[in-house]
Amino acid sequence: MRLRRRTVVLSAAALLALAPGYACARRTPDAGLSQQERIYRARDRVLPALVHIQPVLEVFRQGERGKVAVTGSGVIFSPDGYILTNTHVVGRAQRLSCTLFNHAELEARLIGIDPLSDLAVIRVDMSSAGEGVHHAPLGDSSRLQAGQVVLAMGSPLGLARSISLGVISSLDRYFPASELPGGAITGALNTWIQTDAAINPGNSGGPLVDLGGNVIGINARAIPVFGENLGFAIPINLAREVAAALIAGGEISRAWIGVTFQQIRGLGSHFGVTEDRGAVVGSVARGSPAEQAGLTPGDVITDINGSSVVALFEEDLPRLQKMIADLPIGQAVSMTYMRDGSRGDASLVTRARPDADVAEFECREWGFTVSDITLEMRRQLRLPGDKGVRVTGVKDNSFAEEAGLRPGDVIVRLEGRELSDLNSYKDLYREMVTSRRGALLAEVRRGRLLNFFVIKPTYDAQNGRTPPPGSP
Amino acid sequence: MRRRRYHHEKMTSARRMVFGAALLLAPASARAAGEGMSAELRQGFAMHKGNIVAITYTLRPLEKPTGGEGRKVEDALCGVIVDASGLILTSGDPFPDLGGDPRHTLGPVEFKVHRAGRAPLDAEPVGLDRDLNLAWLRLKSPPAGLAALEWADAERLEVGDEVAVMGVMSRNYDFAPVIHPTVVNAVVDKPRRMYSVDAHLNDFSIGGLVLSSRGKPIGIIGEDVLKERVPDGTLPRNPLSILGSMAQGRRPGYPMIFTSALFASQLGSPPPIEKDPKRSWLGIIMQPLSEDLSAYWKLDVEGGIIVASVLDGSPADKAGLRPADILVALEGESLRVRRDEELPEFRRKIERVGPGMAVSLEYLRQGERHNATVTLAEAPRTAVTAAEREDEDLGLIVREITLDDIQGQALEPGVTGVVVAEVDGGGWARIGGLDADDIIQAIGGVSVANLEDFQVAMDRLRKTRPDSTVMFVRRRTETLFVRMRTPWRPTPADSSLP
Repeated sequence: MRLRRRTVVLSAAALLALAPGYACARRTPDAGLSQQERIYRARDRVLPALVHIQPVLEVFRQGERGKVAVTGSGVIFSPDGYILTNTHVVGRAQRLSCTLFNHAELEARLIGIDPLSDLAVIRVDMSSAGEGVHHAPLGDSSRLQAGQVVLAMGSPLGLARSISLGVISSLDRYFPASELPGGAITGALNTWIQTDAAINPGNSGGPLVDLGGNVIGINARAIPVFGENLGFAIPINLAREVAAALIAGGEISRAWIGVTFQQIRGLGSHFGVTEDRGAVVGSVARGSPAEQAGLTPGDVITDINGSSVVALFEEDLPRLQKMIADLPIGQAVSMTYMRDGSRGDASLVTRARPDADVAEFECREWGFTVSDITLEMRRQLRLPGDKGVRVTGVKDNSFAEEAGLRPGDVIVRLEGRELSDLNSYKDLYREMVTSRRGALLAEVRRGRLLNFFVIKPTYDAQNGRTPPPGSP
Repeated sequence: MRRRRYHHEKMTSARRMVFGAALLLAPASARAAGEGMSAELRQGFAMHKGNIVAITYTLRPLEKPTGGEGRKVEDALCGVIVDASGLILTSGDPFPDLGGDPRHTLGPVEFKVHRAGRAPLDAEPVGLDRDLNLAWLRLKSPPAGLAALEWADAERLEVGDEVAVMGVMSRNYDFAPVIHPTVVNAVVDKPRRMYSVDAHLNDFSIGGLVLSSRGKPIGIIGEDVLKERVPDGTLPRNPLSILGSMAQGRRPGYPMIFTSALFASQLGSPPPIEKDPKRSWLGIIMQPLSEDLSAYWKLDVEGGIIVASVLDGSPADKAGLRPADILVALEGESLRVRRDEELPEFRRKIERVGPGMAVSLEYLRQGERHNATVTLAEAPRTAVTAAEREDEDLGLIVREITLDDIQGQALEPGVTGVVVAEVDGGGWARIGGLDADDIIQAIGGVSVANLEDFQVAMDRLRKTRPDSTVMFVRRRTETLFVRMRTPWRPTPADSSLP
């Protein structure tokens, strides 16, 4: 519990390798090699695939749009230049400057992101990569052992081409799903490979490597503040699958039924079932397929489409969540559950998981930023209706601040015109700015309250800031 | 657990500080030292020391303040047992004035009566005369052998007359009875006849017994409180009562002899303690009508209040008020509200009208003027005044769900359960993962809709003593089951291991 709260998603990135390639490496006999020699061998197989990524991220802070250059890592995992890294490294990047092992500098192209797994694929042109760069082989994360020696490679705090050494501390570390900056749910599909190989901000997206020289994980998290030597990597088998889907389609759709599960151990006996199989329904989202099918908190799901469900411990939950995410969208799913000692069957139709990532927009002349409102936000904020844009930040000393706008406000009307989404808002904003409208009435929902504010921009101050006192 | 939430401090009441300050400015005593007390006073002291008691009590905010749990202040004064049934007369000092902000007003609870060398006794307040500032307590289980006081006829005292004040010493000295022989040094007739004495009385003489020079009880030391309240946050004009501004809901006062003639009629039936009047409400959330908004809408008003929300079923709802209506007048008087700071005054006006009373409101809707007569209702409880229940076995305090929870957390109206107000740092609830603001909706399979259900569910647990239980909890937008161990788990000592 305590650990979960401290979990911090690193703000910088690392990269990971996934694909075929270097199959020969696995055949190299280990016999007769010292550990030092095996470390050198692993280094030589993966380091030439390591990528130092310097994305320029678009950030919205305190009501302003800005750009910030960060550092992350990645690993080339195919001969044609595909690079695995993290969504939190490249997801909001406007430019992707990459420095390869041989110091060659290339721009990468974004192939696809998957916020739910925090994985992403970018690509460089290998014909421009120059000498010495090659891709790294991907291993099999289902065959790892706790205590196994591993290397982490990447750019901790921007220090490119760094290698650190450690062991796998745990193979199935569980964290509840968390949120990426921007609000997308992440980390729900896997347990994590925990390692004591040093991982710092900047390692994100970089490879965790076994002594055979195979990439076995993508480093993505650490607990830098209260912990030491607590790094976490996404297992490579998940990364391989996600990368293949991103390369094939650019994005991944996942199924959603609207259930949050809890483990059976410790709870099952309270629901009158044995604790050796099943998963407890902890929460059912309103209006979700699960609710429509009549599922209710406290039901113990024992079978999905005829397969047994076994979530004895919370470490088993990500696998169940992935199984559901992988269901075909829009198709019927049969579930068997126990309720009050009796068996029941439910049939529900999956829906696509609602998009959680939203675009933001800066209203520079007025001094605040807004975003679209996702279904998830509507649910979280219990917003009535489906109109409006959400204020994500308000600049200090701006016209918006003076008017009384606050982050979290939902603007439902501006100048009497209804705002259906961010695009309609942008059109209206541009129209108002062009005509230099000097007083604008914003109708705002703040929780259940309806408030009115008058924004009075002058269009001659800097970036929506009010003129300092005493200025003409 | 609850006790730990309060700061303990010993506070001398503001009025007493004022008294102290007054004495410092008074001329030095001119009373000549004699050769000891008269035989009558010695006899009077011996006869009545059994009637002198110390009264301790705890002052707590009438409502817990926002963002904190509030102070806990222990205080004490002196009192006099007046009859064998355990009726006690003392100062009204512990009782705050009516109508203050209940979050910042301290009221007394947990009265204990101490007699020198004996175990303290529980007492409860049974009467209060706000005009005389006298209070009446009664012992819950009066011991045998209490003696009724026989008040001597109230003679007219003159400046220079010899009297004696009986009080108690501090707790360090086991509240030993004490006597201060002194003289009357002023006689006042307004607002009633009272006498000032020339004595440096300690803290524990207020509420004490006054003996005549013959050693007969003639009255008590009361406190005459000034008429004006000390305005919040401003210094009173009288420099002697500067300290009075420290305690809201209290007025500065002076210690005086109240002769028995003033309260004799109350001995049989003390005047009842009035409750704080019920406060009324409209049931709206308000936004001030700023100059900017007025100008934008081209409204020719001096201010107003925009209705930001109307609570379901509230008086405003029943009167047909809607969000975006703009209130411009109350009882024909324009509302000059432009800023947030000006809203509380309107709210206080509405609160003071009283439940069941009607007010007339003028409001604008789509630019048109309308009138509404709203019958006010009693203001509902808020999160800070909500009824609470503590469970020490699991280590948590829960409270009822209030309208402001529904508003603040955007809950759907009609949601049931109890809100976790506090979890004890080392309790089973905390260890199990329960958080403050969770809404408990079931315990051990028993549905919990309110505090009574919570009590029933917890009582059932205490009876069945399970090793663990499961609570069904709503946390923000999700629900979950929280399993927690209980204190009833068998310990190794209970087992039959060799």
